[in-house]
Parts: sequence; structure tokens; C-alpha cells
Amino acid sequence: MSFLGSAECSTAGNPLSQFTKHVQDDKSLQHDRLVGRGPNGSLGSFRSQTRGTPQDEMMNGFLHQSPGLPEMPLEQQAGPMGNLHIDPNHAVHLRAKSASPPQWAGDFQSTQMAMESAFNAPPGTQFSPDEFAKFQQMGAPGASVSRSSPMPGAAAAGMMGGGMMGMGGMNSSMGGMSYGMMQRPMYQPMTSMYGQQAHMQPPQQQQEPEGKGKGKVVELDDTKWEEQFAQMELHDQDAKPDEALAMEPELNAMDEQLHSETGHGDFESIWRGLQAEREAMADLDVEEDFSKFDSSNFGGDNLNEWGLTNGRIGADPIIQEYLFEEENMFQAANSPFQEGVRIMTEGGNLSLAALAFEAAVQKNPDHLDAWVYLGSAQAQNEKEEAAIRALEHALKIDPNNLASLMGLAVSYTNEGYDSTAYRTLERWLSVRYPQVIAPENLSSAADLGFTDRAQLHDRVTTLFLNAARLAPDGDHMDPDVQVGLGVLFYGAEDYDKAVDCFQAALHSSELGTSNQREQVHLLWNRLGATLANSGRSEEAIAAYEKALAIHPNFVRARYNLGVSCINIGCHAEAAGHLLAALDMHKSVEKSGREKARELLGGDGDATDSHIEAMMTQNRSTTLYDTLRRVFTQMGRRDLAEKVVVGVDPDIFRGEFDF
Amino acid sequence: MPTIVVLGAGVSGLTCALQLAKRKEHAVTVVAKHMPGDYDIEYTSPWAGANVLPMALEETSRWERRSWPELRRLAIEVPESGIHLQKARVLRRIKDEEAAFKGSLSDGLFVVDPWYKTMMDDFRELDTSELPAGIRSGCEFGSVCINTAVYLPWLVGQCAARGVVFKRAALKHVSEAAALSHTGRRADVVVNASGLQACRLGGVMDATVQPARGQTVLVRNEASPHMMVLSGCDDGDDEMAYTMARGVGGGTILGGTYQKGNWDPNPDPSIAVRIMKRAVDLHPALTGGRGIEALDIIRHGVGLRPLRAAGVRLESERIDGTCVVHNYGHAGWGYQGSYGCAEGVLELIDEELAKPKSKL
Repeated sequence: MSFLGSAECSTAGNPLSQFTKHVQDDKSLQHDRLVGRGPNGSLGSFRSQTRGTPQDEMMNGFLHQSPGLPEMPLEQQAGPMGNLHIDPNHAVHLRAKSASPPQWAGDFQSTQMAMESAFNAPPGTQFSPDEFAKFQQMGAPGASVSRSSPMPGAAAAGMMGGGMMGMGGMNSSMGGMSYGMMQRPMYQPMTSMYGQQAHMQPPQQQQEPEGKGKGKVVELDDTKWEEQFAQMELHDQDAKPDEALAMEPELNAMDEQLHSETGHGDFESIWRGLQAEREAMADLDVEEDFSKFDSSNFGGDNLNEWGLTNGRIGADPIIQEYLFEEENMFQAANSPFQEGVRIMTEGGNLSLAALAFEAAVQKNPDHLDAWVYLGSAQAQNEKEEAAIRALEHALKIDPNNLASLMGLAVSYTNEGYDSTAYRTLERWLSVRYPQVIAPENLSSAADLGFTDRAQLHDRVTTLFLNAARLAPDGDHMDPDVQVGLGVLFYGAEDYDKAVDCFQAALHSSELGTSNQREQVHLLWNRLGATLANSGRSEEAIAAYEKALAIHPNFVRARYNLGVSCINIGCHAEAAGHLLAALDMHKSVEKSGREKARELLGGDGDATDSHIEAMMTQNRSTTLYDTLRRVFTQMGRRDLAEKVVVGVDPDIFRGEFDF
Repeated sequence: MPTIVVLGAGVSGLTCALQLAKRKEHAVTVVAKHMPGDYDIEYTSPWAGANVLPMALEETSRWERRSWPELRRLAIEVPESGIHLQKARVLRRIKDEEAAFKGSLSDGLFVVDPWYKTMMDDFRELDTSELPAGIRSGCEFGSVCINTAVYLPWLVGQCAARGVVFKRAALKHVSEAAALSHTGRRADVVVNASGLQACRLGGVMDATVQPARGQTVLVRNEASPHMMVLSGCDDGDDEMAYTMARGVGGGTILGGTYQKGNWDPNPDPSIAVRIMKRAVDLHPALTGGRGIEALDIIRHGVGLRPLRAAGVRLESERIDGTCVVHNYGHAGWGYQGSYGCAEGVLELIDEELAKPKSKL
């Protein structure tokens, strides 16, 4: 084969001179990785400790696997380092970035062998015709590419960070000259949680140009470097003239440094300079700085009203302060809280009730019950965000307020903040049933990864089941425990079980205390939503109608009714329900207007527009968005375009009944 | 606010993330084991040429059709993307005429009078005088070549500028991605752009996905002005002859192979030599008439194209309570189908998001 003929030491003529990168680095880099040193395997000091480890046998085994074996499913891998696999192609990348050995590499092959023997380089790292013959005999070795999955989460970042930090210390024994010839270590955390490309790019780009031409990894022992360099020089002279010319300027530069009068002195200062640079780069990798490059800090446009979490998985949402309506007639009232309670119990307009409670807390920011009622009213009014802000504020006053905790768990579940919801339920339980879980034993937000979310869910569910067992049935069943369980099963999409729980809660509430009876419409709605999400739309509709029969002003139930109508294809009816819900927001009802006038003592101020202007904050985008979608699905783009946040539902009254 | 997690940072995943992020209301997180800048056998995209040589038959041409205008625009208007215009020559060998020029890489590339003649710039059949020996016919058209080493990081930058958050993670099951949104909320949709790994990813485990191994040689020599591809070659059914010049100093790619079911990450020296010889035969100007010894090699490469038996999988599926939109199995046309497939993904996501949620 012609290949063998051309694979002589003449490097320019050896088209496979670059193969050394691939074949030789397989093991050495893998060794380095396994020993946890970090990605840069080209530092000689690492290689010395590679022989004879138990990992070798495993790797040799993999080296001889035949190609074409399908990869092991990721799920079956034993976990980090559980199944050790070769990753030879790490090598390709790293070597490619490190200056590719230039054409004179061939000359240095023999040189390198001499030098590397001083560093205990693994045999077989030099490409030569003999090696190739062996390569051919092995078939295509190293075929298995399944790799150990790196440790998930922060552990991996820690390992890599450790590797990188370690390099600083380990390098101190190396000659500065070698540093001059090597490129700088590559700070590339492979599995960093904050792997920002923007951050990583600059260091890489710096390294490439410097490395070129100097990048031959030549490890020079402190004392013997002069001798070794002299050897290199000798071989250099044997090189073909054109190649020698190519590298001449570089070598001359190196010459000067090495052979200057104060050779050793220069060398020291070079070394110190490099060390300083290295430390500066190492500082960059300290984790706090990663947050600078976390792109969640970019892009103001993508920030929602909630604000962003700190970017950690399972972290809680950042809740902002409650937004009050500017115009609020209840501010003039004597006892807005009482007014609000009366509106709620009479089943009046929820927006009006919310206004009353807003006035109450503006009068007295520490009025716990007012905050709780405000949150509850807004949730029923299909204004989830406002509800969450109000309930969180209540928790600031009293972290153990049961109604707030349960309400928040429901709201967080609706918004998809699953982990937060589960932790809130856990807290509720620790307050209500400390014998089941003591407050000291609560889960912390700090150590949550994606697998932990499932564990958290299971843990809290078990706790709730324990609580339920305390009063299995009959008069003493706690409907709230059933609600908690229902929310947990709902979050896990275990809808059948959730339905059972809400039904049990309904049953005991209907027969329970007056306070519990007041919650029945909420339970009908929760049951309905669970049925709806499990595809039982007709039953869901029946449940919502039960809720609305008790409280016709229950906006959320009306919205849900609209959603279920969409799901069974009754778009026009759905639009009707959604418009009705919006109407409750938009206009204060007749009785509401009367009430407003009453409150303001019939003085001129309470004009209709005045009252209209009172409901501008906390608009429910859900209602508007869903209405717009219904119109689009009906093929009525003209109507869809009219649906902007704040539009008066009256303009659609001609087409829809509500 | 729709919360979307994209699993995979290859050309498919990144393009989807970018198109999603162009809608300001979307909160997009890209979760991947490998990111641009990495070179790993599990991560196909960096190893690609890449260029636009339409491969589909007309009936499945949507993805390539919808990608071409954007790639062309980037070549002309956005030089920093690493894409540049280059003329392509597709040569049909006499030896392949009996098989109707159906190459191993593609169904539709070598077809005579192809559907893409109206799509590509300045399409023309070559004059007999322009045909090298052994070639029955060929065509030439204006296309683009993509320097993948520049384009992939450019995509990351474009995403970052629009608020996309990137997270490194190696998942065992696709549903784990739903919990990884940077917002802390459960994802409404997960885009599965896991490429070759779709055969091992829990919840997907697509046994019809296998690698189509492509070996290349990247050299400093220039082979302008055309990128060339032959309908077949004498060295075997699973070997190919093609070249392309990457823009912005990316070097010239010499290819290649199309070895189904071969997972070998190491470049095979004998194949490399054959690739180089074929390239020099195709383009004597590469080495100025000298042999392969005059090739100035930057590196050898191996990429595993994610080949799916029934073609790309672009559909949504509910897995463990999460809506997953699959976008994998692009074989050798990932780049030239990237924007078209992203558009398809967005349609599926819109459908899913249009379903309103009931509230507890």
C-alpha cells in the first residue's frame, strides 16, 4: 500500500503526520480525565502517574471492542465513572486547539521520544510506521464511544473546578521555558452549569495564535532543559532545509532567551510573568464570576412580570410587591375590610371585593386577614399574579398562615412552579400537623436538582398520606389534607387520584364547619380543573356549573368553563363565557355601582368613568389571551385583532350572549 | 409566558432556540451535554462540512426549501456568521448511470433535472467540454458553504442576545428537561434535538437511529472556485468524493464516507489517504499538480451523521406529562434543513401552546 511507502520520517511528505493527535492522545488524555486533573492532558507532569491503574484494564478492554456495537442506553449507565469508556475524541478537539504540530513535527518525533522518556510518557504515543502496522492489526480500535456520563449538577462543576485549581499548584515544578513553548492551559469546564460560550471563547482564541509554531508540547525539566534543548537543536539541523527555514525565526527567538547571559534570570521572570497570568485566569473561573456570564442577566425583553429566578434549577420565583389600583373608592370608607368580607360572603363582584381589601391593607399594612382575603379574592378573580403577591405578603407577616400557604401551593401549581408548590405544601403540613413533620425538618431550596424534584414530590405526598391516616374518614376527615393531596396528585398528573381527593374534600366540607362550607365552590372548581386536565370535559363542565351556581361571580370557574368548551369544540359558547368573565372585571355591576355611590355618599365624584378607571392594575392577561385564541380558532381574525388587554367586552355584545 | 427548553445544542437545537427566542414572549433555555467549541464524537454538528447540496426528493423538500433563503441571506448580509457563497458542481459519473445516479448520501442530489434547479442560484447543466473524464453529465449552481466552527458559536451569540439561557447537563431521560428551565417553571414544551443520542435517550430510545460515519480531512490548500461532489466513487459504496472551502479562513474540507452503523471515532488512515487522493484527482489545482504529499493538513475528522431510517422525526408527543416536540434524524442535511425544521417545530409548539390550561 502506498501509505507505507510514504510514511517515512520526512514530515512534509507524511500526510498522516496529524494522525499522532488522534492515536496517541487516546489513552493519555483519558487517564488524565479519570484522575480528575482537568481537560488539558498535555502537561507532562500528569502523564507520569498513568501506568498500572485499575482503570487501565477497563480501557484496554474497550480499546478492543469491535466497532458497530450500538451504544448503551444512557439510563442504564451506572452513573459517573461507573462504566468507564474511552473518549478519544476529546483528544481531537484539544489537540486541534493546541497548536497543531507543524510540519517539522516528524523531526521532533525522535527528539520527543528521548525527552518523553524522561516524563514517563505512555508508549505508543508516537506515530510511526510500526505503530500504523499495529493499528492495522488491531482492526479499528477504540471504537466504543459510549462515555461515562459526567456527574450531573454541581458536582461536576466542582470536579472540574478542582481540576483547574489543582493545575496551578502542580505547575510550579515545571520550567518556565516549557511554559513559553506551551499554550496556556485550557479552562474549559466540560460540564459547568454555567457553561457560557461567551465566557469561554476569549481564552480559547488567545491560545490559538500563541500556540502555533511553539505548541509542540515539550516538557523541560528544570535542570536538564539546556541539555535537552541542545538535543533538539541537533535534530533540528537534520531537518530538510525548507522546514528548518520555516521554524528558524521561532527557534532563534527561543535561542536568545535560553542562551542569553542572564539566561536563567530571564527564564525566572518569564516564569513569574506566566504564573501571574495563570493566576489571573484561574481567578476568572471562580464560580461567582460565572454569574456575570449567565445569560439570564441579558435580554431585558425576556423578563416577565415575575422577575427571574437566580437561574438555579428548582429555585423559587422572585415575587414582586403588590400593585395597588390608583383610584380606589374604598379608601374613603370607614371599614373597608368589613365591606370586602360582606361582598365576598354575599357572592358579589370579586374585583370590588379586591378593591375593598386593597384599601384595608393600605390603611393598615399589617392587617394579616386583609392580605389573605385579598389573595383569595384575586385568585378567584383569575388574577393569579396579584394573588401570589398578596399571599406572599401575608406570609411575611405570618410565615405560618395556613390559608396563605394552601392558596400559594395552588397558585404555584397553576403557574408551573412545581418545586415551590411542593415545598409550600410541606410547610403547610408542618404547621397544621407538626406530629407528621416537624418544622425543623423541612426541605430546603438550596439543594435541588432535577431528579430531586421527583423525590421532593414523593416525600411530601407520603407525609400528606400519613396526615390523612390520622383521620381516615367520617366526621374528622380534614378536607384541607385532601386538598393538599389532590394538588400533589394533580401536579404529578395522577388525575384519577386527584379526583378522588377533591371529591373526598367536597364531601367532608359540605358537612363540615361553616368556614369549610364557604370553600365548597372552590372545591367544585378544583375538581372541575382536575377532570378537565384528564380529558373528562363534560364532567368538568358539570363541576364548574355547580361552582357557579353557588357563586355566579366566580370568575375563575367561568374562565375554566370557557376552556372546557374550547376543548369540546364549542367555540362560540366558550367566547361567551370568557366575555362574561371579562365583563365582571371591566365593569362594576349595577349593584356594584350603586354600592360605590352609596359609599361615596352620593356626591358627584362617582361618575361611571371614574369607577371604570378604578380597575386598571392587575389585568388578567389569561382571559384576554384565551379569548383571542378562541376568535382565531373560529376563523375570526377580525375579532381576534380587537382583543387587546383592557378592551371593553361590550364591543362584542352584538355577536355573543353574555 | 411560554416556557420552552431545547435539548441539544447542535445546529438543529440552536436554530430552533434562535427562532423561538425571536418571539419576545418565549422564555427559552438550551440544555445540552455538548456546546459549540467542543469536539466530541457524540456531538455531530462541528464535524460537518457544511454546505447546501439539496438531498431530498421533491415530495419531502419542504425543510430544505424553507432553509435555503435564510442561509443565502446570511451568506450575503451577515459575514460574521461564517457562511459564504460558493458555486457547487454536482457530477454524475457514467458508472452510476445504471443506478439512476442514486448516491449513498442522498436520494435527490444527483437526479437529472432536479427540483432544486429553480431554487438555487444560476442553475445550469454543464457543457460537455466542462466535464472531466468518466462523467456523463453534471450541473452547477450557486450555493453556500458554512464554516461550522464559526457558525455554531455565532448561533449561540444570536441566541444569547435574545435572552436565551444555556445550561450544560447530561440527561438520562427526555422528561428531565422539563424541570430545567432557567425560569424555575416547568417547561410548557421540550424540543428534543438530541441527534444521534436519540437512540439512547430515555423516553425516546429510537432504535431506528444509527450513525452514518463521515470521515474528512481539513487542509489549508485551496480548491476554489467550486465545491464538487461526485455521484459515486470506485473505492466503495460507502465512500464518497466531495470538497468544499469553508469561509473566513476555515480551510478546505475533503470528504468522505457514508458508513452506516459505524461508530468508530478514530480516523482511519487508509480511508484518509483515499479521500485525499480522490480530492486531488477531482481538483488538481489543490496541490498544483503534485500528489497528496503536498496537502497541508490541519486535522482529520470523524462525524457521525444522525441517520434515521424513516427520515427526520418532526412531531410532538406527550412523554411523562411533558409535551415533547421531536426534531432529530437529519442525517447529512442538518444545516441545509435547519431553518425549515425550526419553522416546523414552531408550528407544533404554537399548536400546543394554543391549548388553554384549566386553573385549580
